[in-house]
Amino acid sequence: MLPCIGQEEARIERDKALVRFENVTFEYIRRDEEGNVDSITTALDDLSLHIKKGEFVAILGSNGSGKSTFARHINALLKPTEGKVLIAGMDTGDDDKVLDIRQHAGMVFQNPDNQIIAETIEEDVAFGPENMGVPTAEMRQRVDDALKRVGLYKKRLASPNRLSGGQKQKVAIAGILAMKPECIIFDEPTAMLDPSGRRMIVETAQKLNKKDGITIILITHNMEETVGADRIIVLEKGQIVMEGTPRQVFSKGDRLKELGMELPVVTELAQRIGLSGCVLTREEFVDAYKKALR
Amino acid sequence: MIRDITIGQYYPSESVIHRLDARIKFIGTIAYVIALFLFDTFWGFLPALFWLGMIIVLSDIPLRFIAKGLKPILFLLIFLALFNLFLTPGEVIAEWWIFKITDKGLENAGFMALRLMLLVIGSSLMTYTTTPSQLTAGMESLFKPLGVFKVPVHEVAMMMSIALRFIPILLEETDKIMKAQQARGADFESGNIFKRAKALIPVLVPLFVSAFRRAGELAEAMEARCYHGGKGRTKLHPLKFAARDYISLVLIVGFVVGMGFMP
Amino acid sequence: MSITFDRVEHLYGKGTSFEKMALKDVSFHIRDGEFVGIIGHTGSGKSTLIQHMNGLLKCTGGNIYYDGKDISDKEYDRKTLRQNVGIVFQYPEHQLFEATVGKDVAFGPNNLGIPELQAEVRTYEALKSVGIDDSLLDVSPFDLSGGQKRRVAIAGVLAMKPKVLVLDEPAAGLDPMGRRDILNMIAEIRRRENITVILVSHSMEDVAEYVDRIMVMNDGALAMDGTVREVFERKEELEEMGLSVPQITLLMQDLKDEGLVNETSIYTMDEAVRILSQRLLKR
Repeated sequence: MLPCIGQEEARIERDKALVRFENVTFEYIRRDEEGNVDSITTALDDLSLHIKKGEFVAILGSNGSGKSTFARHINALLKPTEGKVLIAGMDTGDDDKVLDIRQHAGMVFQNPDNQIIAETIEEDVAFGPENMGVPTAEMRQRVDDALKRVGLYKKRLASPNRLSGGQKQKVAIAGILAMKPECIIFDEPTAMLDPSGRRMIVETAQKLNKKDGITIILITHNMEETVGADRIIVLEKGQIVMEGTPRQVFSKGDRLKELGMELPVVTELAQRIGLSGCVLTREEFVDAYKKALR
Repeated sequence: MIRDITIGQYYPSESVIHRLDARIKFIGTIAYVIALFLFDTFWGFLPALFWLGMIIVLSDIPLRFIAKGLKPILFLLIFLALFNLFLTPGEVIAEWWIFKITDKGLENAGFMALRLMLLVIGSSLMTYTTTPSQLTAGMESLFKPLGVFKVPVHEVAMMMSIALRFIPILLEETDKIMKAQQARGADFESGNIFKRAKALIPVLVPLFVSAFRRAGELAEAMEARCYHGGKGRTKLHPLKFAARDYISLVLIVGFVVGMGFMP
Repeated sequence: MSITFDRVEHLYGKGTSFEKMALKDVSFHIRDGEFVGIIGHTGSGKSTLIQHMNGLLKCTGGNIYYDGKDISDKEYDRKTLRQNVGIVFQYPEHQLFEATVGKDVAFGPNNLGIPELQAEVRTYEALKSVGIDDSLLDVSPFDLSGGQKRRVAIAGVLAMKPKVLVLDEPAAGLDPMGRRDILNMIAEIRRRENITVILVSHSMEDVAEYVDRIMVMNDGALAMDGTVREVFERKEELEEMGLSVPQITLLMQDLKDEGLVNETSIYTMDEAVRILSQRLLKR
């Protein structure tokens, strides 16, 4: 953006804000049969934020708070009515950049069945690289590598229909990994899974963040899944209403509850018996309780 | 039930037939089907039978599995055979009440039944040994020249493969919705045909709503993974002729030419 | 209405290569008015089990009795069975189909041949008990929010006036407040109508908080059946089945291991708050 800036500096500048929302407003316009405007819903309302490369950000918010709309702006499935969204410095409004942006910021959706396209696992994982025009030899490597990272390499020739919900989501994740993204957006990936499936997906997301430095944006209703995040953002009516580390956000339990959220079980218990500090894990709880008893 | 239908189902194996290029199998199947229709004598079927037997042996598919594939057409088979048996004029060889069996009838019945069986077995071998994605890729490649006439070959192939993937999902969904409505007292089993058709509305409406929702979500997921039509797409398994494909092609050509010399 | 399953078996796809024993020798008795939770991982047979409860699936072995009457008897009226046992499947909003909310809820009563006026009263009552306002009666169900659709769908089952209400993951996919509201609503309906409620859930917390008794399904068999305490005491076995105990219980175990508390059989937030603050006060 800035003129006369060195390449290295440009990269640093870019990494500081891999995802950048600048005063983004998005309106859903509903029309009646004659095409007249029936109603306008503002899903994002003058929203600005930056997400650094390598960050793990959790997004909370009640149904209809604008979380999904937000997620769809990151990989250019939706474009702002007003304002700008920049992904790795590329404007999502620029049609020539759309494919590049989608390769940088992959997305895992809620329903495992409705995002698997192909009949075998490896062919599904190859779908993204195929669209990108990756040469076959390199594609083979990318697909194998992605499947190994989610632990499904041995099943690569099987049909996705026979997998559990959690495994299907892993196939979806591998499909994104094969595109070598810098950022993955998870839009309520665990909502339709059972507890073991949930654990599987959250652990995979954490591993990708820690080990491979992939930026993770996790949208969820499950408070426990956000405890390990670097930052939590709470949306309400398309605006950021709370933001901070999990400790900062969860120490304001009353405000969270007003917004229709709750606290992680351990945190809630600690606050109800009046332990000082904001407790996030069982270990922290035990320590804090010890201290209180002393 | 639905699970018993083996037509159109893939039978996983690593046999040489499975590894053949889908285009070769497609061409071979077409040549075979044409051959079946060109011949009208039992003798004419001999080469076809030989051809089929060879492929079955090479393909590693158990005969029982193939026989099961015939089950859904059993009724049609019997009907056709009986129809020919009793209604073909000719020299009467047996007679009972109003039924007359003629020599020509007997011959026709056997002939038709055999032809239908050979047809079904032959074409289902194609789907048993080819994954749906290979099948659509093969067709996409074979029909590519039609693109000149603005036929959306890639799009049609993509639609076919997605349809194949979603058929089992939608069948399961239909079952779920039917059960949910039955739990609310819906009755799909009694009443005349109109009543029954009307009883399906509570199933069809949610099914369509769900199919559209799925379609929307799938389109979004495909777009999110950079899908932008067939332009510039590469493939994980590009179709490439290997030695075995050239040999098969020679064999098929030989078969076709051989047919020309048949009496 | 009391439910008795006596050595119930269900064999899928008999004689095919897909043959699978989905239910194995399942026996239990549920008394009138009980609040029962069913847990088990995906594919453990929970869903097959509940479909037997109103005869959507027929058992291939064993017997099922309601109030002592065998439902496989020829005299047993299937329609009455479907009326008495209401099942709310997962994501019930996906079954909505009528042009208006009112008509959709009345679908069940109409199928039962209930006189129109009475069916209308039932529709009102059912919508009231799920907290849907009368003003939405003539609105298309497809124009409602996700949470409202879920409630309307539940009302559609309640309008049948079931004596046994079975719910498969009624709170799945809702936000935290939506979850709480739906579960509280179910507990309230049970209290008011005095009916038997069977709740299938993935959440150990919800089960611990709401039900009196837990049945654990594993691999088609009824692996455990007992009070909340009896079931959650067997933590290791539950973990082997891919299940767990409530977070609170895990925490209490940690505290006990450190010698900070004596009790471990604590399953709900309120219990834990009580015990832990008492202990703090004593100091």
